[in-house]
Amino acid sequence: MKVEIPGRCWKLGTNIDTDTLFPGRFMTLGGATAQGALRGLAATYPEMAERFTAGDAFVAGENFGCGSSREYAATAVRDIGVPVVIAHSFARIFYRNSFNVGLPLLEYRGGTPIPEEGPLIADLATGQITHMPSGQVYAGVPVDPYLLDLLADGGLMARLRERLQVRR
Amino acid sequence: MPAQTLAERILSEKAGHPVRPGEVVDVEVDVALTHEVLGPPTFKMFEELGVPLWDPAKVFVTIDHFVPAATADQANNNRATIEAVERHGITGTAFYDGPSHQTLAESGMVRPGMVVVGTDSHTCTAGALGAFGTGIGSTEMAGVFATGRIWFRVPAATAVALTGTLPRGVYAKDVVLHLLGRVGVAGFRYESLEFGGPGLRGLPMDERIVLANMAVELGAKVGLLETDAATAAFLDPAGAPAGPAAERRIDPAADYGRRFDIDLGDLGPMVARPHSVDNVVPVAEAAGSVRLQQAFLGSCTGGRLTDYRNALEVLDGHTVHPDVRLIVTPASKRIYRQMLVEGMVARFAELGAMVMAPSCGACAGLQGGVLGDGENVVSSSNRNFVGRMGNPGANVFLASPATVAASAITGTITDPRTFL
Repeated sequence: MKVEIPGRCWKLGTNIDTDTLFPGRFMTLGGATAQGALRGLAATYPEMAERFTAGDAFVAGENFGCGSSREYAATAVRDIGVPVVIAHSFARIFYRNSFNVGLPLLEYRGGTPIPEEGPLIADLATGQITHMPSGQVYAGVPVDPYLLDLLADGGLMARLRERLQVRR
Repeated sequence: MPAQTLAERILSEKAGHPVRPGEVVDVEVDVALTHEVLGPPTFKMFEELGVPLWDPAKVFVTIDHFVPAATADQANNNRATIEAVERHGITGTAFYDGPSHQTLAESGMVRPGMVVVGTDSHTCTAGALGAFGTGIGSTEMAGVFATGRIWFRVPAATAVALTGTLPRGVYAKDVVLHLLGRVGVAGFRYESLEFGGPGLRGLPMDERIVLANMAVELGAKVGLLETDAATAAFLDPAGAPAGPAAERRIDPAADYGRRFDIDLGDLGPMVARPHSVDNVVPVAEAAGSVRLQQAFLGSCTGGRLTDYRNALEVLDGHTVHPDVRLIVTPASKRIYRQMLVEGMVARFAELGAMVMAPSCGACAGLQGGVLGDGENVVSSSNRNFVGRMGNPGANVFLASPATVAASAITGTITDPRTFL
């Protein structure tokens, strides 16, 4: 499964937490919007929050998504138009949540920094990230086939809908 | 059967065969927890599936974050939660009773050896009762509501053996902060973090709960504690047996990737400075570093009876600094009632503290103690991320309730041993 990053890669730091991705004050049925993601990130990354456009990706260090189990953190990143998050590693609840809601994640621990300007193509099955203008390839970690299937199904809700209907 | 970690033991019992780290197992859920923040979207997705709730008796629903509601939006989440509980005939509830992790522990629904999932990362608190408790997202919980099952990758494990006794002025919170300082917030990512040893068994349950509760702050999937008579007594003061996993010890022959031996007697008061839980130094190094505007004693981490007894021991004979708001938010109504019995609410009130209704409140920055721009707070809660307590311009220092109390007296970060 290949994911295109038509825009640019915004470099974020390590331990990007869920309160930063989606501040608690937006977590009501009436108040939850995708923009919560950028409002929270704006406190640490004001330039990114202002200039971000759909199709841009996040590239981060260790433990991306640590903290709360709020799925809003994953859905908001998906809904502002991030095609894939690339990080050294991810916190476990955020990792499950992201694939469940159809947001692809890719682990990349290479020493060579991924270019900020795209476009890039991330091949989730091989873990390879290709910078289209230069052809340079960055070797990430292949995504588990179980999770690729989950993405192909359209996430966990789509899968549950299908399976439970079959069973009934 | 080969020696097993506490996590492997529970997952093996559930899977029906001996499991190994890395293996994916599909297991039955014993308790599913949700609350008014992430419950309404969960129920919405679950209801789209058009199937009945797998077992209403195994679901526990709380209203604990938006308590009392500060906005109409929050109140509408509370309303939606009550209506969902009624629609599905759920009987296990704790509405306006305090943070779910404490009220679930008090409910008696959790037993050692169970699998507990919740739409809240601090569901790992159930590990203090010997249960495999972990946080999941709303979509995944919709699946649990429909099927009663969930998959887990069997985690690798780290054993933390505690010996000795904590010195005066040093508490379980300092043990966790010490570990955070050593390994960092990703230190036990994906792992089962297992605590045992005579040092653990010497701690009261209120203190043990802190170790399991903050396991997620260290990146762990679960924070599992050895179980003993104290665990059983907590679950049922009347003495009912706690079940087949009532007395479990860490097996030193099990495959622990890492082992830590901590002599509790070597530890001192610690503080996590803004804006990361692992930005930890001994209190002495941060002492006097900032002027505080707020001191918070509460949350599922630091709002239990032992916490308040420890804080009041420090505050005894002193006054709260005039620049500091002291906010006290007990972790449950049961705790609040016992505080009344022991005269603690009156003592806090005499000190000028605001004693609030049990809730997640100030810890999650939703109501009951949100901070102003540039303000500094010392808190007995669990997270100090940017914006955690409701304002990205504020600074959160995490410490033990005793350190919070000492700091409330002086108006700056202070070692509690100064007043003991």
